[in-house]
Amino acid sequence: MIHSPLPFELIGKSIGPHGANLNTSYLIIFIDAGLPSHMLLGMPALSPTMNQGNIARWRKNEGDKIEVGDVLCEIETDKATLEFESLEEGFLAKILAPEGSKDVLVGQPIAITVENPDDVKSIPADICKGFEDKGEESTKEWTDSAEHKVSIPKANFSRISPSAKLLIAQHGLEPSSLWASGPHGTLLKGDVLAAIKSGVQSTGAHKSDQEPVAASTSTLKPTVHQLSQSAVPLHDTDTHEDFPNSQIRKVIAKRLLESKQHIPHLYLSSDVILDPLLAFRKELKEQYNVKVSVNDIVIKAVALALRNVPEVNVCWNDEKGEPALCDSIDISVAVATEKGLMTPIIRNADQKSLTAISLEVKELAENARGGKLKPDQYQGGTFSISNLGMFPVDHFCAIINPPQACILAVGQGNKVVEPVIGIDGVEKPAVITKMSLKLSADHRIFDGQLGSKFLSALASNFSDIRRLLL
Amino acid sequence: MAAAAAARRLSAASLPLRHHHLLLRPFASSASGQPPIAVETSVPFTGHKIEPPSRLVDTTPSELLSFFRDMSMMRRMEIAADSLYKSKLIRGFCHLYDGQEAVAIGLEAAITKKDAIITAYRDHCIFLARGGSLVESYAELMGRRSGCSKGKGGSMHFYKKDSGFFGGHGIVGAQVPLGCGLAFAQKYTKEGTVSFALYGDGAANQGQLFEALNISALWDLPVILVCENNHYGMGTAEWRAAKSPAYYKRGDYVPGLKVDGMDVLAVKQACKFAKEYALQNGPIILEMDTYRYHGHSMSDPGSTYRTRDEITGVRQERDPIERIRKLILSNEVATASELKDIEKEVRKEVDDAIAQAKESPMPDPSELFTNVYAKGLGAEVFGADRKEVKAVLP
Repeated sequence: MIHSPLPFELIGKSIGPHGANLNTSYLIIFIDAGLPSHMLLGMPALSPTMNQGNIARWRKNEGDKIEVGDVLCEIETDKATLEFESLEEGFLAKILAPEGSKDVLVGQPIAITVENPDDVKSIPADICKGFEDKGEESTKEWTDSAEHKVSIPKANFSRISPSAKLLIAQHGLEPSSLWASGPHGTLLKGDVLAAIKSGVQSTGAHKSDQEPVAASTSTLKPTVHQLSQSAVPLHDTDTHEDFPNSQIRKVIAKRLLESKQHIPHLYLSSDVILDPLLAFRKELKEQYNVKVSVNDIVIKAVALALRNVPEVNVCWNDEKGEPALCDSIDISVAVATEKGLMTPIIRNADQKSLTAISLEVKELAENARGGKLKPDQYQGGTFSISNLGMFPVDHFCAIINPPQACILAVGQGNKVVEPVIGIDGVEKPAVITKMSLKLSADHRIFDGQLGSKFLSALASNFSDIRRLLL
Repeated sequence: MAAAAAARRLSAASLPLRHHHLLLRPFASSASGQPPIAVETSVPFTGHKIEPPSRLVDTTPSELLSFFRDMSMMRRMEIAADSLYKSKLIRGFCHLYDGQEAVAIGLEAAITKKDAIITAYRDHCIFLARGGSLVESYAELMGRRSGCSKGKGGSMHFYKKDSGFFGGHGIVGAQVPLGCGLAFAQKYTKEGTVSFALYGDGAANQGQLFEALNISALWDLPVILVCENNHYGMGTAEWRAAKSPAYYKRGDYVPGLKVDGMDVLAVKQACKFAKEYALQNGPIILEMDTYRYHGHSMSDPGSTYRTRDEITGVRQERDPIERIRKLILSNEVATASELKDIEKEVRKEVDDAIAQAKESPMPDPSELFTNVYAKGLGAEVFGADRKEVKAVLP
């Protein structure tokens, strides 16, 4: 307390049974030798849940008379702005918390009132210091204790060698934090290098660590030791083999990770009835001796759907941060090779005939497996198709190849029994082949509606195979 | 003249000041040699089915001073309670009575400690008037052991049975049937005492009030229903709450009297009159036209449903303490500085009481289980699984 306790004082600091401070009041009346009788007003708790408030506006100025019931100031609590009424008569001597004071705790002094108007002047300006000091003391203690934990090593060098100086400047180190081992306390280049190696932060002397300092933060050295230690047992046992990654796989891995992390994928699934397509393919083979795979027809169907819904045929422009319509429809076909997954491109797939597509796919696949693909044959593309139909995969979700907007994952055709409306209009159960298509789309470009539009175009291509002529 | 005035002043100054018996009984003028002062009440009484009493009230200087002292004490107590609440020392509900002190003091001046008073939750000052001490009040408000209800009641449940104060009730209007019951007991025991059941303008529309009034009128019980009309039921103005805001007429077959509740002497006159009437004829309704400066409770700023001008207007025109101050000064019972001294003393007393109340500890946790059942019942308390007995209540 800054004043000795006197009869008019309402503050007592006794502690209650559970350590709660039971007795601080927000109203303190002082009679002290130095200052006239005055009343210290603290921030009131205007609602039972209030812990702190802001002073929105002072309605009274210093020197104003205060009657009982007069509003002193407007206090902003977390719920509302309430008026603080005075219950005593007097004169406002000093405002300790000016307008705009934020987060004043309940009980913190905000004003001083006196009984006599003449006493207004005798309240010194530094009366609030007494309260501030107490607050500062407590914060000081805390910071002191925090600092004790981190020992600052003393600089022990007398001069710095020129090369060391250069290194220090280059890395922006604090010379006072470095340990010198040279003759006559010279800071050598080696010392600086050692400090750099041990992970000295370029700013802040507290976090420096060298061998002599016991309290060292994490460094590279221990981890290096760890690695070398752990490397030894690896060679000793033969439980596994490391496959070093080929360059292709590295790139694939990197690009896939990037794609998955940076592109918001939207997945749209659609099952299409494959029977018309299969019938068509069979017809081609039997009657015209033209061999085309299901995949080829799928490529053509997709290409035509892209032509019908050109908004889907876009690329994401990273610089501009917006989609860019592509002129041509170039379909990347996923081909599995030993070295990794390759995606050779069929350019202008919508304009090529089925047989042309078929031939090209075969050629590209061969080249891909032989590693003879030219860059322009696998770079670019506006849409990807990944077909795992030849494997027992029903459906899967593929990852988009940036900068493309989508990829279609094609599963295998499964025979299922479903109600089918026959020619006579009667619904009958029939055996049909269904194939799952899953479109992974970039949600930045696509929304559900656009994706569905594309899928419906695609589905109609599959259902009525004659649309491939369009 | 001057000598007589000086004599009056001297006798006023030598009044004994005690902590526990805060209220001074008004001396009979002949006993102490003080000439009675006849004061006219601010407004005449209005009667319903009854001839109202005279406007002229007899009082003595010492009585006036005691009124002043006691009302200042109550005012100071309520204001200090406000500060304590804002410092989070008093928690929960706190309904303050400042502005309405005249009703408590005037009522007390007209009756004895054998008469019963029962009121609602705005009970701090009635408790004080009935002989409660400041320390007990503050300790109870802060929930400490030395409170009048052992710290277990809080603001809304002050009691002093030995002085005929039956609380302190939270449910609106519930105390009125109880008050009629007290009167029934008094009539049964032929004590020649009465019961005063206080309620507010908000509670005046409660049904049980009329039920109790009906049976009291049938049995001629000595109950006086006092409506402390401060014109706001929480935040609702009386004209919005009651079709007939003439609460003194609401008894219909029961006579009523409308009193200026800010004039101590009018209240005293009306209560004396009502006691005489009730002992002879049964129930009577008194409507005290009064005002509260605070909001309904500490959570209510009190300015959202009425203007600050209205509040300051009442403070300036009708404040009960100011009225007595003017009476005292005009009748030269004391000087202004003497009155100021009394106020300072009162303030000091209140501060001391608060400091003393703060020293008192919180009740022991075992007190949770006492005063719940009749003594010696020995009720067993089970845990949530209802398998093992956790405790046996006293």
